[in-house]
Parts: sequence; structure tokens; C-alpha cells
Amino acid sequence: MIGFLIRRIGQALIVLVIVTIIVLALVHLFPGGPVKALLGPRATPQQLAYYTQLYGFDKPFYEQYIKWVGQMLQGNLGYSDKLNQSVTSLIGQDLPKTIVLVLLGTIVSLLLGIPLGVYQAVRRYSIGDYVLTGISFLGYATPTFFFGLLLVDWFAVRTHIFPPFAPNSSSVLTILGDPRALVLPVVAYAFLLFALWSRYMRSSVMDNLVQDYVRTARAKGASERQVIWGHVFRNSLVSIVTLLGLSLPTLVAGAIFIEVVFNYPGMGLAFYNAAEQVDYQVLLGFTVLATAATVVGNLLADIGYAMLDPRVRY
Amino acid sequence: MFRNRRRTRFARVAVAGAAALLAVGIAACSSSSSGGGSSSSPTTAASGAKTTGGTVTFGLKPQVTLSYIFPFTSIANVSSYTVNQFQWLMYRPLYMFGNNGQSITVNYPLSPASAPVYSDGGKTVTINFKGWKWSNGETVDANDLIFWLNMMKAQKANYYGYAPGLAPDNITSYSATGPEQVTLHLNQSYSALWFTYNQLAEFTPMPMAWDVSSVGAKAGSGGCTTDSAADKWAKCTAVYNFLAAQAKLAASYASSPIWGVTDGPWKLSSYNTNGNVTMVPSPTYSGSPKPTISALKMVPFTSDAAEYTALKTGQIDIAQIPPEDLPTKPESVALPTTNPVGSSYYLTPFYSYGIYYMQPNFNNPTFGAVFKQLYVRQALQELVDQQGDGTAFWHGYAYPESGPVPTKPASQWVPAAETENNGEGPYPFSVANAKALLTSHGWSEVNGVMTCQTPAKCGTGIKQGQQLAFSAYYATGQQDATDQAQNYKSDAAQAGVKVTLIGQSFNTIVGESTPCAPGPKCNWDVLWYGGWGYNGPGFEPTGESLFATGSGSNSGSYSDPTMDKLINETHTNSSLSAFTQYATYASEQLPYIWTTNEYSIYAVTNKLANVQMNPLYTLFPEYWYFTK
Repeated sequence: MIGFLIRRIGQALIVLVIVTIIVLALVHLFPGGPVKALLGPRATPQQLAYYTQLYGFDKPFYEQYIKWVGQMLQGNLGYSDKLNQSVTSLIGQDLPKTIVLVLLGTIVSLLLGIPLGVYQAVRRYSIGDYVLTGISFLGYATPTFFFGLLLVDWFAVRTHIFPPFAPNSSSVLTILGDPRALVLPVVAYAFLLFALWSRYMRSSVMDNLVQDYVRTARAKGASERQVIWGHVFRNSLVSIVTLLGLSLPTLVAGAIFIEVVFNYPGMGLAFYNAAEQVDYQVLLGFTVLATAATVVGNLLADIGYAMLDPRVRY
Repeated sequence: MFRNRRRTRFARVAVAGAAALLAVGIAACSSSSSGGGSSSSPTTAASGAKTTGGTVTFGLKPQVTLSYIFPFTSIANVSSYTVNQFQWLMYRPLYMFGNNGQSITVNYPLSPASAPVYSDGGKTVTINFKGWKWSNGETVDANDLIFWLNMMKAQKANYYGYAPGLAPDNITSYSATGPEQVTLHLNQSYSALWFTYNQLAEFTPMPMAWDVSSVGAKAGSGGCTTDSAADKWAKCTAVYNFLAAQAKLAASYASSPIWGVTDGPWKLSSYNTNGNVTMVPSPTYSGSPKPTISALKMVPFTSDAAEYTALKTGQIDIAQIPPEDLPTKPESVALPTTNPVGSSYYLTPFYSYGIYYMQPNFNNPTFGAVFKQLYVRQALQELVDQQGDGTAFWHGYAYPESGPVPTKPASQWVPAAETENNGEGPYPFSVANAKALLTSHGWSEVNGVMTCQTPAKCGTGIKQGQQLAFSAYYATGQQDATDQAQNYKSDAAQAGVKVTLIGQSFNTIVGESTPCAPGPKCNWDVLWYGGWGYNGPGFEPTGESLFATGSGSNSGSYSDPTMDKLINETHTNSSLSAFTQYATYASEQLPYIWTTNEYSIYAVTNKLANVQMNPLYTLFPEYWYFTK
């Protein structure tokens, strides 16, 4: 297991180095260069020259890279002039809110998707299975922003049951203090994921139900409940664990469309705004963080997979 | 400020279809919304008795954040919103511009200084302060302006409005000639109009409480106010570094002892880095009128769709209605006959004080010679169907533009040439005229494309066989602008002008917009991605930034000695006729091809009276009040 871990961590570090080099190189490919992107069309040649020097873009690429990585290792992810805020503080401000949204949405979707997936597998080809399959396909096929807008229209504009937006605060406590305002974004996010979990769970349980160990368990007199929840369920979770690991970047990068539709001030929205305004410092910081989250997510998924299925370690 | 047509692309790209569907749904059920009805009189403003107090919730435009508090703002931090809708509420510039209406002129009653007095043939300017007070009890006086001017001298590169040769370079000396009087000596005679509107307009008195280099230091101890070039402005540099560092502590803006010293009608009561800003009346404001409402809460939005939902659910008192949600109307009336956000709101137009245009590249190695011919530019202008574009693509919320001066609102600056032909100017839309103009100059259609047949008539540098075919890079992401570009291509084709449209992101085109020297790399033909707003730091719509030879924003490298002379004349001749001459010449010479100007509609809650959106983006909430 230790050898497996060392191999995987080594691979992860190499990926991080390669991605950071590519990301910094991409900044240089902004039309007109990063300083023109920052200052806009009104910048005079003198201002462009001044800021090029100020931000070190006149230095060789390797020097810029070393300086940037050095700053990141000290926790300095850059400074957004457009927001007048350090990227680290922006992340500190927005990440907890995104985590709240994504975690709540994931938990709700898991609580619904996993049992219903098991139900569908056990009662496959029943009316209930068909209905739930239809709902899942609807979840797959409906664009998130569209579903979000429908929720806003139905439950905020027409009936006033829920507010259309989460509180627009820099504090996660304020957002948690108004749970009604969280309902619509969480439901919109959960609906998207519910379809995913239930389909995977259904498929995984169906695969496991025909395995030899299930036949053995039944032959030894295990009840159907014991077979499903004692044997099949754990093995079927392997695919869900993998998917959960892979969804870790979402926890960091945010659910862009949900956050935009519901005016939810999280990471996804900040990234979207930065892309619109070519705020390259935020883009760099967020991309590195999302990359790290993806690498760590994959790593955790591999470890979880290895724990659930020891054959993977070798 | 530069202006672009970009609106929130999410609303355009991702939500377009859904929003349309949603709009249908909302329209069908709008009677149940707090907006209370889909069809109401859009101009019914609040009319009840005036009452004091109440919080106004103002929806900022999508993606706008009021992010920087220090009026000595760098180009990296500046935006019209940050300066005109945030800083100016707290820190009055030396001269305020605009009013709670459609004025774009200097507003002396709202300024801390009286009208400047020009003498010595325009070489000396005397500024007298009115004795206003800062919130800490200091007087807004001569020292505060000297402090600003010294900072400008010391930190030119860090002030967004600085341009070499202009203020403070053109001020040879300045001094306090009295406790409340500053006298500037200029390096030559300047136009009183231009110097007031485009130079003095950049100055903002700063309190002595800011002339410090550490928190809690004694007011004025920083020494910038008494600093000079002798020590290379070391004291001012130290003060600037301190203040710039304080300005980066955005989370503490509302509690900062530095930024809490104001002379404007408003002060911060809360600020968070997410963009939520709340201001309350400053009890020490010396000017008039004093605020009536008890708080102004500015709320950020992510997209047009989100802001529209906030209006429909009655969550905000003032916000812009997304253009896609406005009903079609005739161009002859300013407001629609039906109110899309319901009877709880009345509507008011917002004419952003600026212009839109296409920029030809006069340095293009193959096509520059063609663009240099005035008759070609005239033909290209005559192919812009401004009335048709306004009706078809902006649904009536647009008006023609035909020169360097915005025609709305009406102002002293608009030359008669720009009002000709219902605002289309000297060269109104006419495919036939454009075609005739080209054929009379040696061009004729070959395979549907105008081709130079008689080089002597076509003009200098144009060879026989040269086709009138060029590429136009236009900014994608906004359907109405895309439709306008397609319409231009179609109309141009009828005159034998072949326009190849190349859609690129706004930021990509901005990257290409730097003026280029003649040569193979200077290969773009036309850029079509935005325009120019005269909403600060200059307020007289002169042409030094756009049309003067070699200016930084003259992306197409337009160069004309007469234009340069006339622009220079606007700087030195105080007569309005000097400006009119320049504006008329620019309108006729077409350094750029003028295109349709759009405007916006704001919704204001019926409970709130006296709200108007000023074309300079400036807010005057001290004039607003709730009604019973």
C-alpha cells in the first residue's frame, strides 16, 4: 500500500508541475498580453510599460515561473487589481460558501440517489424503475441553468415560497443563517447529481447481483435484506466512491451555472467573473487550486478504491 | 472611459433560450408577481408626499464591483462605477459634473470650490474654495488641493488619468495664495472650457488626515502637502504607498479612520468584498441638498437574468432592465408603453454619454491607402443603416450617431452637422449614394465587388484591380451587435463592398487594438468592438485621446494635420465655436465610421421619487426620497 501511495503521489506532483507551467504560459497568450488584458484599451504605452515592469512580465519566463511558484508555496496566490483583493482572501471568502452549496447538494443527492438506485436495481423493469429512470434521464438532459431558472420562476417569481437568491454576503454564516434561500440552489444542484448517482448505483447493484458471492450468500441462507445491504451494497459503492473523488474539484471550482443563476457568491461565480474580465491573477490562482483539487480527488478516489478492492493496490 | 457593448455573456450565451422560455412563463403569470401586473404606465413616478428615511436598494450592473476607495486611482483599479458611483459619493472632486438629471456640464453648486477664474490670457487659474468641512472638522481648503497636485507630480504612473504633457505637466507652478485659494500657472494659454472640463476635473482635494504615512499619525505629518521635487517627492511617495496599502484593505473600508474622513454627502456604513456596499448620509456634509433617505444599499449581481428576477420579485428598488426583456417600441419615444417589470416600478432612460464606432486601420499595408480616401469612408458611412439597426436589433432603444459628440443628451457640444438627417449626420444611410460615390471615383463592380479601374481617380496608393473587400473583426457575445454587423455586411454587399466578418471575443479584439506601425504585422482592416465614453476624467468630448496623431487609443492610426490643429485649438481657444469647428470636422472627416448608439432603461420603485440616471454614470441619491 505504501509503495502504491508513493507512486501515485509522485505522479500527482508531476501533473501539478506540468499544469502550472502550461497555465502560466497561457497567460502570456492573452491577446495583447496579460498587461493589456489587465489595463484595458485605454492604457497608454507608458502605462503598459510601467505595469509590464511592475508585474515582472519583462523577465524571462523561467524567472516568472520560479517567482510565481515560490509565492504560491508561501500561500500567495496573487492579487486581483480588479477586485482589489488577494486571491487567497477571495478563496477564503468564497470557498466556504461553495463548499456549503456543493456539500449540501451532494448529500441531498446521495440520500436520494443511492437508495433509489438500489431500489431500481432490485425492482428492475418495474413501473417504479421506469418512472425513476425517466426522472433520471430528465435530470441528465436538463441543462442546470435552465432547471435553475424554472425553479426561480415557479418558487420565487410566481409563488414567493422561496427567495430567488442566496444572501449576497461575504460571510458563510450569513448564508447559513437564511436556510430558505439555500433551498433552490441546493435543489437545483442535487437534481443534477441525483440522476448521476441513481443511474450508477442501479447499474452497479445490477452488476453485483449476478456475482458468485451473491449466489454463495443466498446459498448459505442469507436473507434478501442481508444480501442487498450486507453484501451487494458495499461492493456497489465502489463506483460511487470513485465518482465522489472525481467530483472533489467541483467542491473547489464551484458549480458555475448554479452560482450564476442564483447570484450565489461562490468560487464558480468568481471564476466566471474573472474569465469575463480577464482577471488573470484570479484565473491563475483558481486554476492551480482546481488542478490541485482534481489531482487530490483522483488520489483519494484511487486510495478509496484500493481500500474497497485490495486487488487495485498491486 | 472606454466603453464596450458587452453585457453579461452568460445571459446571452447560456441562458438565451431558457430566458426566452422563462420570459414567456413570467409574462403569462406576472399578475401574481410582486411586480403586480405586466402592463402598466411606465412613467408613473412616485407622487405621494415626501417622507424622510428609508433604505434604497440599488442593483449594480452585472459584474460591477465597487472595489477601490482611494480617489488617486491607478488604471489597474479604475472603472466608471468605482469612481462616479462610489468615490464621488464620499469624496467630492474639485468640480462635480452632471446632476440628478440629464446634464453633463460642470455643477458648481455641488462642488467644494467656486468656478475657476482664468486670467493672464488663460495662463493663470485661480481656484477659490467654499469653506466646506471634512467630516473630521478640517476645512476643505487650499492645502487639500496642493496635497493632490503634489501627489500627481510624485506618482504620475499611478494615476489613471495621467497623460504625458497634460496635467500636471502643463502646470508650471502652483501655490496656495490664501487659506482657501490656489493659483495655478500654466505653461501656455489654455481654453477655460477645456482646462476646466478635462484638467481641473481630474483633481480631488484630499484631507490632511490622509497626509500621513502610518495609521494614527498626526494629520499632515506625512509631509506630502509641503513636499517638493527637491527630495524627489520622497514624502509624497511614502504617503502614497501608505494610502495605496490602506486602499488594499478593502474589508476594513467601513471602519477605516483614513477613509472615514469624507466631504461628500455620503459615508460608508458597511462594505464587503463581495460587492455589497451600504452608505448612509454624512451628517457633516456642507453642500446642499442633504440626503433624505437613510441608507443606500448597493447590491451586486451576477447576470442580467438574476437582476431581472430581483426586479420581478421586488427585491430591489432601482436596477437596469436587461435589454432582452424590454418590449419593442418606436425610436421616437424614449420609454416603452408597457412596463415589463410591472406596476410597482416606473421607468427612466439612461443615456450613457459616449459614442460607438468602427475603427479602420489606416496603417494597413494593403488597405490603408483605401481607407485614407475620404470618399471611401463616406461610402462606408452611408452603408450603416442606423435607423434600421436601432429598430430591428435594439428594439427602438437606440439613436443614430454621426460624430465625436454624443447627441443624447442634448448639450452645448453637439454640432449642427450631427443633427442633420435625423441624427445620421452628413452621410445618412443610402446604398445608392454609396455606390454612386464609388463609381464616380473610378471603381466599378467586377463579379459583384467594387474594383478600382482608374487608379488616378481612385486615389493615391490605390492600384488598378484593388478590390473594395476588407475584414471586420467584431466582438461576439451580444446578439444585437452581431445582427448589426451582419446587416452592415448585407447592405455593403449591395453597394459592391465585400465585408468579411470575423467574430472574436471582446478581449481578443482589445488585445489587437494597440496602434501599429505600417508593416506586414499591422494587418487588421477594421475593428468593431465598442466605443468611447466621455464620463471622466475628461468631460468635454474633445478628440485628443481618439483622433490626435499618435494618441494611445487611436488604434487605427488616423492622422490628419487639420484634425490635430483643431483638437489643439479646443485646448487653447475658450470659444465654444472652436469646439464646434473640431466636432463638425470630425463628423465630416470620419476618422471612424459612426454606428448606432444604444441606451438603457432603469426601473425605479414607485415608492421612490426624483430618481434619474445621469449620462455620466454619477449617482445623486441625496436628491432621492421616499413618498408616503
